Amino acid sequence: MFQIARDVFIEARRNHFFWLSLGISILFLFVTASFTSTDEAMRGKLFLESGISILWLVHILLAVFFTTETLYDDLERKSIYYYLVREVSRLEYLFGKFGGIVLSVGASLLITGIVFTVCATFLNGFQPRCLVGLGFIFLELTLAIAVLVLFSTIFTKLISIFAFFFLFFFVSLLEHYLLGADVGSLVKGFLLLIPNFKYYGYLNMIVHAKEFSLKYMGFLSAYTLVFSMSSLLLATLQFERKAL
Amino acid sequence: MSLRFISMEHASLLIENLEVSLSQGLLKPHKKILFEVSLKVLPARIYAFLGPNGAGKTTTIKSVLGLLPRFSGKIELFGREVGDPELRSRVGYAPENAYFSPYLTPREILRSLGYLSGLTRDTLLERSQSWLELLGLLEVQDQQVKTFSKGMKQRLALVQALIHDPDLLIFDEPTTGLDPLGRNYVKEMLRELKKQGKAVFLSSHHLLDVQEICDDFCILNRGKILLEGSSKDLLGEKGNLENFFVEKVREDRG
Repeated sequence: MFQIARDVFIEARRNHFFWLSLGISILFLFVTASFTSTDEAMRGKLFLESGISILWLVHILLAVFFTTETLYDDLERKSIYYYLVREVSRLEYLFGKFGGIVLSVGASLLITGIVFTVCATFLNGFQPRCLVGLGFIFLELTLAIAVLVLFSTIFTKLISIFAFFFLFFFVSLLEHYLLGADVGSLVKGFLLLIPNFKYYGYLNMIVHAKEFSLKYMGFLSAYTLVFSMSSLLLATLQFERKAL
Repeated sequence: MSLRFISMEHASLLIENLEVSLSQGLLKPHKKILFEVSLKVLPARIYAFLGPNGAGKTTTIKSVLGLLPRFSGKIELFGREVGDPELRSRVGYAPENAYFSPYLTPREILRSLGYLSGLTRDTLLERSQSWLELLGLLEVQDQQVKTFSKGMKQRLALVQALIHDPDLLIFDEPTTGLDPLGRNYVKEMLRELKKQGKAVFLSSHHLLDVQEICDDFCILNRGKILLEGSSKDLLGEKGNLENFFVEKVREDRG
């Protein structure tokens, strides 16, 4: 499993898209830190808001790109056979790929997160909530990658991407409307079982300095762990049945 | 299905009455691909698995490798039922149209696959160097695969299949994309493997090459084995495999 994760990490490091996204993020952070406003206090606030948003956006796109590319390439071009004909189970293969993608996206987030934190400290003084915010993005990316791995074992590449963004943007809205509406408890229960990204509300916390509690951080970590593992186990079950 | 041509000594690969049906897509019925396929591959022999495109060769190979979740019939490797993960360390496989991550080098690929096969660092180094040298890839072992030609990738696929010193080698079109020199390397390699007592099971459309090296063969057409036996018995001393193959497949098609 670690060998597979390591390969994915090496591949990602040598992929032009990895460096391109890293370059764009850092460039954007510097531009935002330098030119967004002449008022220093406003500039600090704008930097936090736009900086964290760009890091989130770039890394979500990176997670989608790496997950779909890595898994579909292996499946379509049959390089998955090199692993599965050895003493590697399908579960180990999927968890290895997942680990490698999380590591790759995490490495990019770490580098850009350091740049973000240095710039934010320079503009606003050191704020621990920036680090917590970056941690929340990492948790959200972990869940996103697990969900994408699951979809990749079920759907074609395009449908996987579409299904992921639908889940990402619309499930919290659906939940908001349906949980308050007069629908059956089965529908409500089903909605609660679907991974929901609305819990990762780091923007308010960072930009508007809203309080965050250790309890909430614990909840979010547990939520990520439970839903990521469930997604990966479901992916394995589906994958075991698949003729390759 | 008759196995009469080959002695009944312990087989590296034994398939009996294999039947496979595959899904054709959502809401479509399963299609039967293989019908009572039976064959036997013995140690220290090269067995050619022949058939026109779409005959079911790759499906048979996938069944042997455990890549298909469902099939009926019996598949045994070294006298034990396929599905036992421990058996995988005794099998090496090179697929048709070899593809590797373009960003990795042969050294990295072999290290990773070698470790997954349970090799130690020293053994891995020794084996990878000797096979890379034999197949003419030693000098490019630190170049990323994206710079490789199709033939070089094909040869790398062969090396990864050999790296853990398996007893049964399964090669799906091993000479696809290779120039005459590359094909010669592969034929030499196959002879060497046979000398070492390995069983080789290969599918190929290069029938002249196959005739030169194979001991036994079978012809699969539309999911059924048309005939199976040793080259000597089926072709005689001066027979031509290509003509024989075309004749038998045409006969079967009526």
